[in-house]
Amino acid sequence: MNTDSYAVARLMMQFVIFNIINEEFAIDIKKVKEIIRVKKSTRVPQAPSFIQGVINLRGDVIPVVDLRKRFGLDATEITNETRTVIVEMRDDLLGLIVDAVTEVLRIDEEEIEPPPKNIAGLKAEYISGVGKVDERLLIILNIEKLLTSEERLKLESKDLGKEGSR
Amino acid sequence: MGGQEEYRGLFFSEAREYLQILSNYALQLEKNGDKEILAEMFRAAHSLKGMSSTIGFHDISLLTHVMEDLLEKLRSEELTMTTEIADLFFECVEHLEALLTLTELGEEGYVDEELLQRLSMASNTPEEKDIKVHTGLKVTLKPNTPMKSVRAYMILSVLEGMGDIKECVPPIHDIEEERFDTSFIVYIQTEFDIDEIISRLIAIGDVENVEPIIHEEIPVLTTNGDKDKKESLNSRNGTVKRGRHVEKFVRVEAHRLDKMMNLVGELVINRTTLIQVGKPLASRELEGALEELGRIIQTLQNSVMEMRMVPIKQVFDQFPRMVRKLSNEKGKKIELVIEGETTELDRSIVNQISDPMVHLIRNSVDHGIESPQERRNAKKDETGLITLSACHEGGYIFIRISDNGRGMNPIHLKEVAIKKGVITKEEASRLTDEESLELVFRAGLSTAEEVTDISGRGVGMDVVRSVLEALNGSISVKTKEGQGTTFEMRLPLTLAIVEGLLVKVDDNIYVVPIESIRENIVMSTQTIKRIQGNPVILVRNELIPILSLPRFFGEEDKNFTAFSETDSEHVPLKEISLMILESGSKKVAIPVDEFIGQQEIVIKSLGGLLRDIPGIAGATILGDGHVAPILDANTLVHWGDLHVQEGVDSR
Amino acid sequence: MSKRVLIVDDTAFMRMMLKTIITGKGYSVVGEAEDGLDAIEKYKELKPDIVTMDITMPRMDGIESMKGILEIDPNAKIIVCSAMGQKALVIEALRLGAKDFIVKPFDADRVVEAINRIS
Repeated sequence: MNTDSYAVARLMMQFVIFNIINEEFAIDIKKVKEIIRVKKSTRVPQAPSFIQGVINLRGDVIPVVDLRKRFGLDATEITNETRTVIVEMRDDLLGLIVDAVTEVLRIDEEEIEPPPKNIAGLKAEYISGVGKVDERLLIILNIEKLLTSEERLKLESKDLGKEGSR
Repeated sequence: MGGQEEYRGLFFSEAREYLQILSNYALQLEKNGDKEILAEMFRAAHSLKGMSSTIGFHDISLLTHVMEDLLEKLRSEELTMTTEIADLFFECVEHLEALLTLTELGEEGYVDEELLQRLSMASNTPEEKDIKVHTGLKVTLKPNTPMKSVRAYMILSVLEGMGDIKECVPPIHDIEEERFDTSFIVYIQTEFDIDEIISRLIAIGDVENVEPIIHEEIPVLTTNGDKDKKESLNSRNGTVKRGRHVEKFVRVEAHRLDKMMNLVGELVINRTTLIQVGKPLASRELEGALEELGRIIQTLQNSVMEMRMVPIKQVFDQFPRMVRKLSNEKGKKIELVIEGETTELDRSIVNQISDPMVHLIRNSVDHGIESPQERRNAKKDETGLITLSACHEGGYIFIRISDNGRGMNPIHLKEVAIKKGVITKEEASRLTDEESLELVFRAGLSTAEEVTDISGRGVGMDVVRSVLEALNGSISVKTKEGQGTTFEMRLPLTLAIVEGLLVKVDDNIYVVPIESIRENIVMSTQTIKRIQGNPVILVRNELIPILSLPRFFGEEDKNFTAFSETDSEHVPLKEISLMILESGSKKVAIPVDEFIGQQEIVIKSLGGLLRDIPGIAGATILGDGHVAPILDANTLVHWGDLHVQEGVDSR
Repeated sequence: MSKRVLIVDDTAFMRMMLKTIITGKGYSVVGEAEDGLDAIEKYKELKPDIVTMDITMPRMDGIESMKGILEIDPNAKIIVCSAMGQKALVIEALRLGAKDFIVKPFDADRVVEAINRIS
């Protein structure tokens, strides 16, 4: 997903919606290869800290990113809801560990707004847009930027207080 | 053969050279019909024809064939040069250019029938004028025709009786060997009416159908952008595709072969899993079946590997020209001898050894071979000799680059290395001649700005070595002052699957290519010595630095924290297992908790995000489905080397 | 009137096969020969419209026999019968003037077609 995709003339776009803390995030479904349960990963020394390790996905070795850690939070605790979203970035596959995958949504292109300067503590450059569905705000992530930037991030969620301390 | 794809690059670069020749000479042709020019053009057209028909670009072959005919007639003075003909050649060159570009883009370029016709007309000698026309015919035999090649012989005989056969698709020798499915195409120059030809062919037994090949549209000669090209071609494909033939070679995209290799890798892994799962059952039948499975996988792996093999010729072929050019520049006389160019190796390796070889050969020309004067003074033949050879030996491929030039002097090398600050005087004094030669592979031995005859050898040699080591290969040098130098590269036959040793360090499993392991030893911690606080061991009079893997990776080493302490008293007394890795002539000893075992491993990339982690060369999937990192011996050894150097210096 | 065919083959079985295939398809088998020499004699005697000529035969092979027949009658219509793998011989026969060839084991349709075509 590139930063100007909100401006691309398409009527409806499909997104995979997932949660981290209680923020709702979205990824363009075209980037998502599959969604799997969390697999045991192998740690890779000297990998960036948010890379939890590598897993074997039917014979391919792919890195898995703990999105909570990328957002400057504690590592994700694995629950029944936790999922790994396998996405394609450039020509590589990689997994994103998220609290839960909730649904696949069509969002009217009209309802996607350019990223605000800062949302939930994330700068505009990490966000491709914000989708508005009913009262919900869906943060459409720019995965490539998110994972190639070295900047330390800090997700600020309204629910962070109670969630972050568990 | 599966390697056809590999030749493409070479084909296009060479084809363009010939095209350049044709284009240059076509210019001069207009001025005069010089015989030498005609001969040059004829040769270029002839070469292009041969190349393109070999690789299967039949439209290019067809066009160059007709050009060749025309040139031949001009050369033999059956025809005289006219402005029209010169213009026609220009048109051909442009058209060839367009065809090449399209073909290179992976599109199917079709030869312009109308241009062919005009060429044919032009090449008709005056008495033939206006009677011969160029025709393409697609002949289809009935399904299950017995002795197809004899049928084809009958068909071709009839056609030969009616005109000149210019080109067959597939080529005529393939048709003779029955390497076609049910149809083939013949391009013929004839005065007969096409219907007449067809009716005569139809009368031959087992001929199902004969149809003229019609290219409905002139292939794109005008440059209206790639997009337009593609569209106009796509719209044509439906009608013209029928004219395509079945080749004896199946051209396969390289990535499909890679995928197949991966799948073989999966099988290797799965077999390992089965062996592990089956162990507790202690079933002889299962063991037997697994052994059989192993044999089958091995055979499959070998055949897939064979498919990926390409002759090293495609790398070697660039060198004669390069050596000629370089030696002219340098005012040297050099003969290049190439041996073993049919030696095959994995395409992924071929792609990567080209640059190192260019470097080595360039060095031989620049610094190895002396000037003619210098050689005469040394009572050597003033023409220097560079020999390039490749061969298979015991599971490896050896590529040797030798010159009979001035050779290298280890003492000079040391002096240069000291001057450049690569080593200290003390270090230098300890180096044997052999070790001194290894200095050429050290970074910083020389700089590009200040190339001397000896130190110039060092430019980029460190890079050459690391490329080879990344390929699980190695490079060594032998030299004799005044007589010459030989660089020998050793490469594995394939990259994808290697023997690996599984080791456990701090609960992590790592895999090390067997190739990099010198030996595994068990030693008492008592024998650990220290140089400037850095632990080393003495193995057969050789000091080898000990490297804690966790510490290398910037983590805490639970078992070997003691190594970091200067005070050897604190090292707990116990036996430790050490794995000694080797790269070049350097070694490093890595403490491991457990040697788990040896198995075939499939090397996988860690992907973009994790590509450049020092010490990690990739990953593999173990029998239990888990992933294990593969250690990069080269980096680890280099680290150890730095440390022992430091230590030795300050001792 | 149906075309008259001379069948040349050293095995009675193959002669029988061919005879069964072509009889009643507008052809009549006027004679059979067991070898090349025999074939030349029969050709002179019977003046058939068409000859089917086996290649491998005792005493005189089909190629030699064909040469003999073509010497007597350059317009003789000869179809050579060959086994798989006799490619070179078939080409030789075609070069010498055979009109067509059929391949054993015979496919009835192909045999009839071949004879139809040259008659």
